[in-house]
Amino acid sequence: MLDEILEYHGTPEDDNFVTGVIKRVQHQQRMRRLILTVTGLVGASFGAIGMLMISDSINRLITDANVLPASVALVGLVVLMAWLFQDEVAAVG
Amino acid sequence: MISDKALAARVALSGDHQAFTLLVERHQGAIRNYMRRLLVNDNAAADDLAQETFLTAFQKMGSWRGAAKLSTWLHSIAYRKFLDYQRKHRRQITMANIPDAGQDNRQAIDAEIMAKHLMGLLKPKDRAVMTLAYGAGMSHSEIANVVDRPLGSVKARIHRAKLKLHKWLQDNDHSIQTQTKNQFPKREGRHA
Repeated sequence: MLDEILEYHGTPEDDNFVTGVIKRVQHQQRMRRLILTVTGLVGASFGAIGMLMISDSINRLITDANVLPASVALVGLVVLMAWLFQDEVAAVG
Repeated sequence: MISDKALAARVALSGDHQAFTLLVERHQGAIRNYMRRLLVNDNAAADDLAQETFLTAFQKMGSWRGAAKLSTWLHSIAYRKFLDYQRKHRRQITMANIPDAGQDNRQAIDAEIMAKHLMGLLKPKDRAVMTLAYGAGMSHSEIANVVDRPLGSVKARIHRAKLKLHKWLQDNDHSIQTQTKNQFPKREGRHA
């Protein structure tokens, strides 16, 4: 008897529920994108300020004929950043 | 029909909303029923938690390896959501109104109300395993997977809960057995 009582008596299924879930997914993705953009911009701002602060040193580095190591380091940095954020871009996009 | 695995792969790889919609349509009944049984009297909160379950599933679809069935994995997420909810709303989860022994309720109650009354008699963790066993039709090992407990512990919990419910039925409504055969509607669908 317990089997009969405790089995599910009906299946609550409707489109509103599905729509609600998808809306929440989209909202959560928008928030994620917003957070990524804002933190990215904040990071870029601090990066730009930092670059300004050390621009003299960089100028000296380049004029001291260290262009090649500086270029390699810069490309390496870009590749590293691209690799780090690849998943995030794929997830958001 | 596209398999759960194929749809889940599309969701995990590209966040495919259409594939995810199909998965939600396919499994909403089982998860909503499960939550409604766990939360006994609060269908709105149950549906809200069911939505959160699917939201988490979307975020973590990549972590489902297909070793267990997707429904088992979804039930385990739902169970953890319920435990979180229970921790936050400990005082608000109330027992269902259990019919008094002397009350002539046999005519009025239908199967679902009776099931919720019985669920209200059980502790939340017993409720979870009993619903998985009798509602979702899972095997003991699947239930152990969902609630993340040893198989023996799950079997013991189910046994104790069954004894408790049988005893309550005998003490309070022992003649219901003859009525339920004719009165309770047939199951519309089972989500294993």
